[in-house]
Amino acid sequence: MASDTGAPADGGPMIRTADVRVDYDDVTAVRGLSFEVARGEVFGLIGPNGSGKTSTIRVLATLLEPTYGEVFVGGFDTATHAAEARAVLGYMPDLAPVHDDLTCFEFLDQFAGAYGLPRRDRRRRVEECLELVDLTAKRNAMAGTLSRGMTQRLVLAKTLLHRPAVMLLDEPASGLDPLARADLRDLLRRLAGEGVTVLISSHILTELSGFCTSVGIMEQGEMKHCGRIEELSAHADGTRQVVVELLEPAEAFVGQLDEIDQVSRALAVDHTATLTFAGDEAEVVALLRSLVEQGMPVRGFYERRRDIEDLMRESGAKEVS
Amino acid sequence: MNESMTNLAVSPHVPPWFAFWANPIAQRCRRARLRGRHIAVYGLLGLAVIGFVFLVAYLLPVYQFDRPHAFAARSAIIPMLVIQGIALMGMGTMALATGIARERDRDLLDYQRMTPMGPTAKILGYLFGLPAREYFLFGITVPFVLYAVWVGELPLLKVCKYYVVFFSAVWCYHLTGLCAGMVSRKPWQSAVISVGLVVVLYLVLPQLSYVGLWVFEYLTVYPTFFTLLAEELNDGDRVLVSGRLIQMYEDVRFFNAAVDPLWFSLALQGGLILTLFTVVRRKWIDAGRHAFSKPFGLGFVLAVHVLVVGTLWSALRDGSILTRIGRAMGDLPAQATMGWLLGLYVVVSASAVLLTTFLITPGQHGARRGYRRARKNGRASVPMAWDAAPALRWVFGLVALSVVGYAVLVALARQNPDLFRGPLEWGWVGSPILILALMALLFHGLAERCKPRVLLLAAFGLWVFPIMVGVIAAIVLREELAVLYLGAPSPLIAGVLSLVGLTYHTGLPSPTWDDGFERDVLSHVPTVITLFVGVAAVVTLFVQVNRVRWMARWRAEEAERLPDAGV
Repeated sequence: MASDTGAPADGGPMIRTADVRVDYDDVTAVRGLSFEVARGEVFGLIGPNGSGKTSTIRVLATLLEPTYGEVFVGGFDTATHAAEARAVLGYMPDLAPVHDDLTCFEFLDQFAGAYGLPRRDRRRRVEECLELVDLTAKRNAMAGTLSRGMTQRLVLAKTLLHRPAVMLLDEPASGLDPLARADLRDLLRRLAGEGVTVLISSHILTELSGFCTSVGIMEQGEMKHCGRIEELSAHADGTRQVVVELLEPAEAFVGQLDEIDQVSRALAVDHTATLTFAGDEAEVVALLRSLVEQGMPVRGFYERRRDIEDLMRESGAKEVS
Repeated sequence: MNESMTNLAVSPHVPPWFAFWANPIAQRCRRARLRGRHIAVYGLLGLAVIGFVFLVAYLLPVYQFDRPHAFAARSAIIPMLVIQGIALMGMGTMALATGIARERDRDLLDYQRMTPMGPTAKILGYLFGLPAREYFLFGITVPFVLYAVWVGELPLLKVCKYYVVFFSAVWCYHLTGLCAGMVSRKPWQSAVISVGLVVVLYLVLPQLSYVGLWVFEYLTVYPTFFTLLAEELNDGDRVLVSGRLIQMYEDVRFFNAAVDPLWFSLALQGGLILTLFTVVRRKWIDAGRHAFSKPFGLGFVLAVHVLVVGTLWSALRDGSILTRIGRAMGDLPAQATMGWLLGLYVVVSASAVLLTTFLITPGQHGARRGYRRARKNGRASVPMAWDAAPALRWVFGLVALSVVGYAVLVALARQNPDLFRGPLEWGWVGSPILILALMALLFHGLAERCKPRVLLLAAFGLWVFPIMVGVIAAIVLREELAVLYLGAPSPLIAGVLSLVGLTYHTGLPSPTWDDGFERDVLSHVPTVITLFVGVAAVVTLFVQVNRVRWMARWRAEEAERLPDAGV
């Protein structure tokens, strides 16, 4: 059960799925999906097209009943308490459709009414949401005349109207220009700071890198990796990626680097050598000292944490932009 | 983007279903479809056309034929009623079907599904919002109608009663449009389906009144118009509506009662509104739900049977009605008309049973999902009323309703010495209903075991293909009987033959039978029907056994996969 604020009474995760499977006749879109998202997290659901992201989001949004498995949103079992779960949810679908024959204000006003906002607060809240997504100037423009990016922002405003505790955003940044994407990132960070749980899907890595606090990487309907960014970025085998930038082409030094005991692999690209190094931080410092002492023309030296792209590559996922 | 998030609490003031004035969906549709420019254009055009039609209908009798103003006003009301019907029933239904299909096609319905308004409020919002423009057109006609009623000195109460039935019929058709919009894939498809349904409801089904099933005519406003208003429109020898038409719609003969057409229309249309609303509501709550729940399906078939039996009851008891129907059928003698009416019952009954079987039978995936849900809730099996439960027991119930209705009609006909001759021949009397039962059980087995495409293919292969082969063989072999024997596995052939046989063997000798008919065709009928029953019984048994084994297999798989769940 959940509290009045939409958060689980026991302080548990805002989103929890257990062994979820989604079948469309003979096609399995999602299988064995189990993950949790805590309050205030920005969870990036990443994967190539057709990996099951949209099906997962529709299941969480209570718009698609899973074939198997359990889904809890805000502490509510979506199978038995769909209405309560919907009350804490804000959902923005992929390609975000709007009613073309309404103005932006009218579009938001109808949903403000449908969500039960008191009449006296409705106009203020609609204006607030228009301002949040920077569409105040388009208040009286017909929704059908908006550009793709503006339409995305209008639907985002609709999603924010009733102050949901959990936001499900399916490819929200597609169609947004770089400035608007940066604004979206800022807004989502701000919402997360206020305790809103955000689940955002994308197949474009750059959209999510930098502001997700945790990620789930999906491939062919399965969750390949899932967890907080810092946990995932640590290598499972305890090795580190050390990047050495040289003044001369790195190829000439590969043999020399390979001979170092703790280096299991050395890759050279142009003036950069990437080493797979087994050792702690003190030993990384010792490695730098040793390279300089050997007379290598070291111009830069740093340890590279694994990022989302590395995880995607390791999971074998394709079609990433 | 500026950030101005405040901690304003959202208090739930969700409009209840009856608050039409505050319904956000209706408001939205009104805003979108009735802006100032729309009102100006439609208002001016509508006023010009409607005004022109009214003035022509009103002034022509006065100035060209020297009729009194009251008579002219009454004659002018008829085109107004036609325009109102076109606006609300035709255009309004299409606006609903295309509007809702467009919202569904573009995933806009998902937004509404997620709002906390109740499903009834949402459906009513669309029902009264999407045809806003058509209601506006209707509104333009109202002053003209009021003027005609005033000058024509028509009784206001009767006019009001007419409009009660008119709006009841309008909402019937509008819900039909909503249903069409929620099941079709594209807006244009829903427009075609909705227009098709309106044509069927308004023009095709009422034609059945000529052959004995006048019940469907009460889905239209004709009976109410002719019984309430038509007589008022005539003025002595100045006749606007033929007296024959007025007499056609006297009290409705239903079982032994004579029911006022107004109340009969309202009851029938109310039943259809309830049925359609239930379908839309179920689909709204969850698009994956069956159109009918199992208990509702049983109730629906019961209602259809009560209606049909109640209508045929009076025909089988009253010789004059039977004679009238026989005359409409091309001077059929009474006993042949009886055979026809029983056949009509079987056809309507079979249609209702097969449709309901299709609507309440779970598909492969639905059944497994329901089983999983039941296990999760700590149940050992799926409760029988759930959508996901096997439908066999319910299909038995549907068939039982058919059998009871048929038995009632046969018993009734037996009481009339002019209709049945000699002792009851159970083989002939029972064969139509046996064919119906086998059809229903086979259809159920296929629907539950196979995917929809396979079901369609199997139904075609078993029920239509044999006839096609028979026809080709008959042409090539120059032997007409090939159609009967090769087409025997089809219930269409067996069903028609069983009804022909029933009429021939139970009815009195009829001059309509061709001399060689008995020798050439009728003597083969028992063999053909036996062949059908044999083939259908074997296939049905095979399909049902296969279904049960398949269910046992996947349930075992699920039981292994699922946690015990306390079962």
